[in-house]
Formats: sequence, structure tokens, C-alpha cells
Amino acid sequence: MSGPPTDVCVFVDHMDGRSMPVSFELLAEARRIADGSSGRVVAVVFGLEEEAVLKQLAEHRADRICIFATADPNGYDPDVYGASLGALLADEGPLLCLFPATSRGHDLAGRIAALRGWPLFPRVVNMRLRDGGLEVTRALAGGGIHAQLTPATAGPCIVTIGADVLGAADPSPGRAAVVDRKELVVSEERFIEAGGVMKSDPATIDLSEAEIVVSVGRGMGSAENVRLAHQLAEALGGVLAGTRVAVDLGWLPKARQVGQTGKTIQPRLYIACGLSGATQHTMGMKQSDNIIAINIDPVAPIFKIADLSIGADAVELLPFLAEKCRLARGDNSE
Amino acid sequence: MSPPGGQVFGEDRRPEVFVAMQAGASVEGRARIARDGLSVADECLRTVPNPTDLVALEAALGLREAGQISTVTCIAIGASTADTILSHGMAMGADRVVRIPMSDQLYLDARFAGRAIAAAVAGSAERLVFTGGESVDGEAEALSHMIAVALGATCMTNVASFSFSDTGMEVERRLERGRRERWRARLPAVVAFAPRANDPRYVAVAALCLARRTTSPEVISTEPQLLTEQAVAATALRKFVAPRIRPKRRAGRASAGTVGERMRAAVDGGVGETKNSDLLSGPPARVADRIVAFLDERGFLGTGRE
Repeated sequence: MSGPPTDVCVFVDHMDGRSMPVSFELLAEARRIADGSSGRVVAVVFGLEEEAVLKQLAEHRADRICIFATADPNGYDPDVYGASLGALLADEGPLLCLFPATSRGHDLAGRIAALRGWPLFPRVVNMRLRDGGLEVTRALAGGGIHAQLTPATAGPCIVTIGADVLGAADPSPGRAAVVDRKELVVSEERFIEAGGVMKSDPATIDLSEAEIVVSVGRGMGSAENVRLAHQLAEALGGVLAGTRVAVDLGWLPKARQVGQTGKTIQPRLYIACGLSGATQHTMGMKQSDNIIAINIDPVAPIFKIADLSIGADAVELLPFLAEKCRLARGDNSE
Repeated sequence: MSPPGGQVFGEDRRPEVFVAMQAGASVEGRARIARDGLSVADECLRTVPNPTDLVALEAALGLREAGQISTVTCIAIGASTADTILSHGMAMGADRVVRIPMSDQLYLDARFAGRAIAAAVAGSAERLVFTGGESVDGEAEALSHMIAVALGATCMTNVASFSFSDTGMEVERRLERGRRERWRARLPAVVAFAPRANDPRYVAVAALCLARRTTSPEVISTEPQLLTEQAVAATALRKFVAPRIRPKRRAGRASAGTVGERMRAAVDGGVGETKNSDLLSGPPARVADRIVAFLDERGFLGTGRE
């Protein structure tokens, strides 16, 4: 390798056959840094080879996509992933490699940095090129102080970034990337035997982990009516949550509160029943992949961020909806 | 399935668990940063135990109470900040506390910290270390791997539940969106627990005060080794600065809008991307059919079949 490192790699984490949205934020940040260093953006994917996914990564400004084919696309073998990605980074010597601050992203970033002795910067909030090298900013003391850090050892800087920290850029339609298929590095020495992926019990799951959330607000009228939302959550295999008002009224425990003074969540589906969508609430759920809003008030702010807006009384609608969902899921499972 | 490598202990050799604890700091008022940016005034910093370390400690105490491990030892690096968190560990029920002496520092390189803790733990026969997988400053997320590599141990992160098995140990890892995955491994190991994996036991103020008066940590001096390691820390502090929020990119969002909207977008308040989907209304049964079609189209009605 000649000259200083310039490329920026991005580890693309995925679930259910789709890239996690944070990947697009990382690609946007990688593009910004690579443009400054006159380098390329290299996306690294394990187990995901669908054309639509590769097209999406290219449109989010990856110049090259390295694919490692795996036997189980949803699985994660830390020993094999760590050895394979570590070897790729050692061979290509990029300036840095960005990882999403997801469960697997964090694990892999720490694993590679520790094994290789490369500088690791977890949960970075900003970064820039300075004198040809990288300077990152991290929040300390619960965000009360920021620290500017630089690498002290040679090798690619390993950086993790949380979801919704830096934001994604608009895709560039029609953009193409070079696809490069790589072989997994499988060592004789294995430390961990990884099992498959399982789903948690919705009844005991922490709200921040839930995939489907049915949320209630003052518009439900009474604790009795909240049971209708609970029935819908059960029918969908989801979790019941609510606004601060619903918690203050004693309809739900504090642990089920979403919003500024509750939890920030990012489920795949969020069904808002009888809640207006006050800023304090939407701050905690607006990153949900799909939002269905049910409210009798046609100008409720929640409709601005909804993928499906329903102008109806949630109390009247929910029994029908729960029953139809139960039937549909029953039909599907046969 | 039997995991390769490692070593399995018998019932007569119950392991000792070390719980690596880090001092978290919270800023009271506004942080006063020195002109050179290399230090922060102590008066505006309050030492707090890292909440996820307490989750790790609770898991260790639970195993001891179930008779599966022999002792629980808390270990921390620092001076007065380390004493503060170690006394909290003692008040919760730890058998022993160990301090690695060093001046208190707001930023400590994870590789250096990992090597220091590993040096102190290396004498233990089974080498099982629990730690919090997340901290107020994010450093804990790097620490577990650094300890593991220095110890030559397996590292398991974001662990929601831990149990010993016939062949070693088994953990359930927490993934996004309610998913879990199961890993099996053998000792030696470093286990980093996920936030809220359990509810750490309540410590009464009186018990905490008593522990602060009476706790006298065992001091393990690894000074010569630490000095060598400090020279090879993987990251270096340039300076501390006051927090500044970097405006986020907004895909699909026009730069126009009111001043209020733009400000909310910059600081992440208010609603995010505006979708303004068409408002549907009608008889409940028909509207329900429309919602079911939407859910089916996006794959939610088959999610229970995985």
C-alpha cells in the first residue's frame, strides 16, 4: 500500500433481509469523510446478497460493496465475522471503519479492535479529518462534556455510531457500485458456539426492544378501553405502551411510557391509538419504521408522521381490528 | 453440540467472579474545563456507579446466592472515585473489593484499562469477569473486549441472561427489536451485561454510608506493567470541550420551513420527517380491512411464525 490511507469502510448490519436504517447514516458520514480524504466508500455485508439491497447501498453512496456469503444470512458467528472482517481491513488498510452501535456492530467493532490493537472509538458524535488523520468527538459524563480524541496506534480507526445521531442523506438514484465477493476466514480455533436468532416473549420484553408497539393516549377515554388496545397488541404479538397522560392516569406503568420523559423506541410498527402526537411524545417514537395513527381529530399532529392515517374513534375501531388481525394471523399460521 | 477449547470446572471448584466497575461522572451545573482543555474542575463532577456495572454485580450476586460461584470480587481503577464505587459494590453484597491505584481520570483509554484489570485478575484460577456492557460515556462498550484479549478469554457482549451449563456457560444476547441469540462458550470468559438485564438490589442510604466508612479496598499494584501499557494506549485525549450538537442530516427534508421547524430539526426536537399520508375514514369494519391490508403488505401478519 502506498500513501496514507484514504478509504472508509462501513459494516452494514441487517435484520429480516433488510439493512438497518443506521447503515445509511454511516454511509452518508463515510462519504463525507472519504470525499475529504479523496478515498472510496466500501460497504461490507455478511450474508445479504439481494439485488435490491445492493442497489440501495450503492444509491446511498457506497463505491464498492464487499459481500461475505454465509450459510445463515440472519446468523452471527463472532469468531468468523471478526476474523474475516479483520483480515479484509488489514489487507486494504482503510483510514477508518464505521460500525453501527447495534448489538452486533458493537460486538464486532470491539472484537476486531481488541484483537488487532487498533484504536477504538465507541459512540462517536462527530468526526473530522485533521492534519491527514482522524479526530473524533465523544460525549463523556452523560453528555455534559465532550472529548476530542485521536488514534495513538497505527491501523484503521474503528468507530461506532448510534442510530439517529448524524442522520442519513438522500439516496442518489441510479448510482452503481462495484460488487466484490469475499471468502470467509474460518479458523480452527473457535471460542464461541453461536446459536440461531429467537424472538422474545412480548409479555416480558423491555419496551425498547419491542418490534410491534400499540400505544394509547388520553383519547382512549378510560382504563377499560385500554384493554381493547391490549387485545390488539396480543393479536399482533406486540407490546402495549402509552403517553405520559396514559401513565399519569394510572392506565399503564411508568415502564411503558414513550416520549421525552419515558423511553425512546424504534419499533418496526407503531400503532398510535387516541393520542394527538405532542412533540414530547413523538420524540420517543418518530423513528419507528411504520406508524399507523388512529385519532378522531383530523388535524392531530400525529398524522404528519404517520404512514397510514385513520380518522376514526379508536375505541370503536380496535375490536374490529384486533379480530381481523387475529383471523389473518391464524390463516397465515395454518 | 459441545464448544471446543477452554476448560470446565467441577462442582468442587466453584469459580470466583470478578466484577469490573467503572466510575461514571455526572456534571453538576456547567462543566468548568481548564484553559488547556486537559482537565475539568472536580467540583462540577459527581462520581456515580455505572448503572450497567450494577446489573453485572447483581448477576454475580445471584449466582453466588444460588451456590454456583464462590466469591464476588469488585475491581476498579482509580483513587477516590474507585473507592466510592467499590463501597457501593460492598454495600450491595460483594465479598471483596480490589482497587488498582491510579490518579482519577475523566477519560481512560479502554485498552489500557482492560490490560490493567486483566493483570489484576490473571492470578485467579478460572478467570471469569462480569462487567456492564454500556456506560454513561460509552467506554464500557470497549472495555470487555480489551479485558478478554489481555486475558486470552472469550468475550460475550450485550448479555441478557447467563447460566452455567455442563460444558461451560450459556448466555442469551439481546439483539434489536426483541430478538435474542444464544451463545455457548467455556472459561475463561468476560461477560458484558446489557442494560436492564436485571434489577440491581436496592441499597439503603445507611448501608451505603456504613460501607463508605468501613470499606478498605485491597490495593493491587500493577504499576510497572501499567506504565508500560500506558505508552501503548490505543487512543489519546486531545482536549475536553463544551458539548456542541452537530446538526443532523435530514433525508427527504427540504431546507425551507419556519425558523421553529428548522431549529427543531437541528436539535432533534419536534416531529421528524413529515409524511402526511391521506386520512382514511369510514365504517370501522372497512377501515379495519384497510389497516389489515397495510399490515399484510408490510409483513406484520406473519411475524409470529418465525
